[in-house]
Amino acid sequence: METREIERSIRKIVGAVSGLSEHADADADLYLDLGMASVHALALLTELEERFGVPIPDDQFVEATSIAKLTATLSALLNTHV
Amino acid sequence: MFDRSDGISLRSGFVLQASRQPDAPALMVRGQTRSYGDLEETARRWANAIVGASPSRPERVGVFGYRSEVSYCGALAALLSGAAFVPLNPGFPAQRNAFMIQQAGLDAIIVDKTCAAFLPDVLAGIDAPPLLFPDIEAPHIQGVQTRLLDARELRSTAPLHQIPPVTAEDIAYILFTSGSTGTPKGVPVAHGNVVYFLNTMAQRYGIRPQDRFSQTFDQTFDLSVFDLFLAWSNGATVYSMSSVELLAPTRFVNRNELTVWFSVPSVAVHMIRRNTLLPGTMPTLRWSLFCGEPLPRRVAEAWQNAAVNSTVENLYGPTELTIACLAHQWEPVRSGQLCHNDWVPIGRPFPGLSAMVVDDRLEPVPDGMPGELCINGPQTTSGYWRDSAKTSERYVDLPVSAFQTRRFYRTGDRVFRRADGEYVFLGRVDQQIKVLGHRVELGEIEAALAGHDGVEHAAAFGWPVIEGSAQAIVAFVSGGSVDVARLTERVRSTLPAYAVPSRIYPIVEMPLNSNGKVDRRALQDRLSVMPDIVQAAVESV
Repeated sequence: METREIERSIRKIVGAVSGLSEHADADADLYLDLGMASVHALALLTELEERFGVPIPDDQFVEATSIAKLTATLSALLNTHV
Repeated sequence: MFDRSDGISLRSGFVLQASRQPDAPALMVRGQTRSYGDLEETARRWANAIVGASPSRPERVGVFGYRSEVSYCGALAALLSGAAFVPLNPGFPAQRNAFMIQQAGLDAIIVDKTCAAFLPDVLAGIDAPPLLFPDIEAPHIQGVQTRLLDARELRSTAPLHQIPPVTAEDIAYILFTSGSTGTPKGVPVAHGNVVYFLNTMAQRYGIRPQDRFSQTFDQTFDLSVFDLFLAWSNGATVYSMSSVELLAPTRFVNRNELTVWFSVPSVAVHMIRRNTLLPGTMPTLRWSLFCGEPLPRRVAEAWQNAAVNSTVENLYGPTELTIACLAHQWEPVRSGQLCHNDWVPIGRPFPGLSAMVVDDRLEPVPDGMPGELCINGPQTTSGYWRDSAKTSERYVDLPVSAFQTRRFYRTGDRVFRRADGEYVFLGRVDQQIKVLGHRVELGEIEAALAGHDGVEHAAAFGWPVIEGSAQAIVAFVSGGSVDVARLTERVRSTLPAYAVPSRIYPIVEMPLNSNGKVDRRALQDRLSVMPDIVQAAVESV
């Protein structure tokens, strides 16, 4: 999957679970800068795993706090998974 | 700078510690450590600015910040100005924050950088009190005409020297909880209530300056008052966690060598599901405390194995009774035998509090019989904020002897008392549920759904329920042509994040029972045979 496509899917899922704009700054911290709550973090993790079909280790998810970082984490996970 | 004329109040412990050990760390947030002296001086500067901006003595000050230095120091500044603090939350819809600002009648609001972005929507159409922006330049907010104080101005404000005295009856904070009819209820907690609680906790847990506390709760959740003020009253350090760090806290606990853990059990339930709650992994903890929802037995067992050097406790208490009022200390062998429905008992009332279990006519029931738990004592708050009808419904005088009555708060929780004095939680007498520890009245969600966008009937459920805690909410709606996307958008603008249904199912006809009411059991049965809800949600993305 292309990185751009991964990012687009992530943006959609972030928007769907939290109501944040799909056009949020890719480098903004979803939790500290944008105020995303832990219920949303939990929903985001679940939905990302379902959508991309890869398990995301919790420690990696906790570090991937922006759309850009999530995109990088998922790209790496998808590549090692193939 | 410790003012000895100050009575016993929520702030006095912090002020005393700041004079005793100004260089000791009080707070670690977003990678920055702040000492007691530093934090106190900053809070006094902001307090002075609040006092200066208010035409009369400030009574209630809003804190619109999210897990930031501004949000923690803001609560202190409000208290030092002589006011109560009223936390707001960026996870709440603008309407709800605006409602809280108006209901509480705020004299000022302290706003952090994250929440400043939400401010224009929140303040649209309401009269704004003076606004303090300690970590940014004052923004221009369209249509808002009020005094704005920004970082530069606050830095050059002198620290408030004489802090206005408060009494035990004065309000320390007001929190808003879910109301069954659709409007949140304010719960004012007095200094006397919370100081009594903190003294009990300090003794029970032997808190000392070397302790390092987790800070896991949003400040709109009263359990955060435990994290912050129990630590600060005893010279300990608070470690603020971000909302995502809660999903994998082991590394955070170890990196900061935390000694006191306090969270909802859902955090541990998630870790068990992800296989990250492993034996021996959190050796630094000496207390592992859970509150906010039922504690499942296997969570207590698994956490005990992970935090081997700690004592696990299950705390119980609604906001109206000041944070927590009963606790059960987990003892691996004995406690296992006391579990009911695989839930750990909620234990015994704290010293000085009395509990009574009553039937629906408010008559006491014998041990072993289920009934509603009512509590009297120094932690029982005075009643709902400016709502005498709701207050007289929930705060009642019950006889404690042939000649005497006392004021009890009816918790709405069904319990029974064992012959050995331990209380056991059974469920709710009404339709309140917990979503990851947050109190949610299903009636509030139904009120938000019904009557709009063609919805005739609405029924909300906590679903799926894993070990007594709802993971999310789903709702059924009936009506001619319901546009689910539009409806979701609409409820997002009135309900807090955790109360927004993750799925809304339109159905042609709402099943009704013989009384003409929505047949919840029939819907519950339907839910249990539905395909995986998570899967359905993903397909719609």
